[in-house]
Amino acid sequence: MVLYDQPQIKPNGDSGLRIAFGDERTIRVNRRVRKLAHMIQSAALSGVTELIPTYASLTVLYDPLQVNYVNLVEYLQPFLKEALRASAEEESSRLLIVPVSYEGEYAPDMSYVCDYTKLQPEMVIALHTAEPYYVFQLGFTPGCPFIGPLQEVLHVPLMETPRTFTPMGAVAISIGQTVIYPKATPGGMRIIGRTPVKLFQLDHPALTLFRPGDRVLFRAVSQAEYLAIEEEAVELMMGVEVREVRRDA
Amino acid sequence: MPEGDGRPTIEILTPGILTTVQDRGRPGYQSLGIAESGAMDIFSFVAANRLVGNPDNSACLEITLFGPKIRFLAPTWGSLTGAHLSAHLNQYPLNPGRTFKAETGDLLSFGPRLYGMRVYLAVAGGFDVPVVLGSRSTYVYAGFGGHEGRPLRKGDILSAFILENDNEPTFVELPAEFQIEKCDSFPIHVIVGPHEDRFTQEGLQTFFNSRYVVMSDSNRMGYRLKGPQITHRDTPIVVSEATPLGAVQVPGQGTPVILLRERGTTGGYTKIACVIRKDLDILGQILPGKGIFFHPVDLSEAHRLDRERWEALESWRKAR
Repeated sequence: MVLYDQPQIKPNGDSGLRIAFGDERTIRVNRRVRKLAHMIQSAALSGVTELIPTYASLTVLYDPLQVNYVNLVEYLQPFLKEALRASAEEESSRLLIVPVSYEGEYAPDMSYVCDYTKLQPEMVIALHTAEPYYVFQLGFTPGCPFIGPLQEVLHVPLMETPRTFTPMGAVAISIGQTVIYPKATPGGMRIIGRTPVKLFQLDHPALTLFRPGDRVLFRAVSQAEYLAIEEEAVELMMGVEVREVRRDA
Repeated sequence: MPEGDGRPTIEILTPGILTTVQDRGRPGYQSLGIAESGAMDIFSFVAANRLVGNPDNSACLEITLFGPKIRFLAPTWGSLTGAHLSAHLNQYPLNPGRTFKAETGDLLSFGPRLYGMRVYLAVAGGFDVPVVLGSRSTYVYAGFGGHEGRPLRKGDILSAFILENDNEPTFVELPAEFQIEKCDSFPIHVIVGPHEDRFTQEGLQTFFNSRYVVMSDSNRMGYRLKGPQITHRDTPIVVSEATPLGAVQVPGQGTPVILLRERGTTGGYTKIACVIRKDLDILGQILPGKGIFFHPVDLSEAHRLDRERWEALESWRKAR
């Protein structure tokens, strides 16, 4: 766990630069990343082509024909100072309440997780649904949220050999994070449940269910309720309760 | 010309091993987990379009290793660039880097590979497939873009826009300097980092002084490499972060993986370096079994190498 005093700036390829604020999966460092991304976005800097905010760093892609690395770093200086002032608490956000069935075939790794953590399934579910988590980043595949921080007691190692098939909607845990697989893919995280709601829809204006900075609360549902929601939730955002949460500084 | 108004131009009789519609790719969505996709060899892709007088970003077919058999449904100008897969129009051989004129009913076929990995087939006007999130590229892994979000199959019919300019294509040939090279080991230039300090000195030396061989399970997502093991100082795991196009990840077993156009947009393993844009196009033409040597360059050198080739292509166009 490291939070840097000053952001570290380095090339990330010949048309990218990476600004790291720390080396940890925490909200305090992710807020800095997201604040910086918002400021750069609003400033519409010439030559900047894309911003990729992640847990603890922001990668800024640029067109070297329009702006060079040294100048870009210089333009970013005032934003970097400002980003360091971001606090973890002052932000308003959405709270998404997402149904998950933790039962039977939807939870193929529950027995592994219980063996490893020495917890009963009821306790694993109680912990996973206890309080809102935070969406740190989307990445890997279209619409895939990286959610946490996961309670330390639920940290479980990745599978030695990843599954060749992880079903769509699988809710999985590993070290420090919980994710939901938006589509069937190979995957190595431990699956403890499944959600019937969509995470990615190409012809929906939002494209993805989650956005970085969202809060997410998992709600345990029975298999029967899962099937009912699955039938109804044919579009993105359906089957999910969304609340606006105000947080005053 | 409005989308969907193109004229049926080709029919796929046999699809080949992997034939997809591609353009320059779909930038702007990596923060949502959407990789840019697009042509694996952008330079050859653009050259194919320029040969037939298309705008640079017109959709082409990317043809991989074992080519398709295609019937033309309308008269059109076409061009092939990139790999040499012994293409023929009816019985006549078509060399890479040439325009050709196809008539209705003509057959385009491919044969043994002489060099390279991927061919770009442009037709005048460009292929008319829907624009999805700003691009016509097929994102095979995610199942969208291109023609119905998938590689082409037997029986698929693709339309092309009617080229609306006065520059009717003629028979032209791309100069040899813009064509791909035939060789067994390729120098690939990289920008070092961002996790170079996570490797031992010896590990970095191994990376830059060894021949790495492209493995057979390499594809548009990434190239896995075989070769000497690169040693980490400590753990190969990092907090998940952006994996830009060309990033060279080194997971725990110590052999590198180059992340390409359909990669995961974030990754949790150390990145020792990132391939420069010019050499991404060379990579796109490297067959499994061939070798790679990594060479570090600085940013200004990388940018110079990229700029110079585009300037050269531009001056060739102006000169003719």
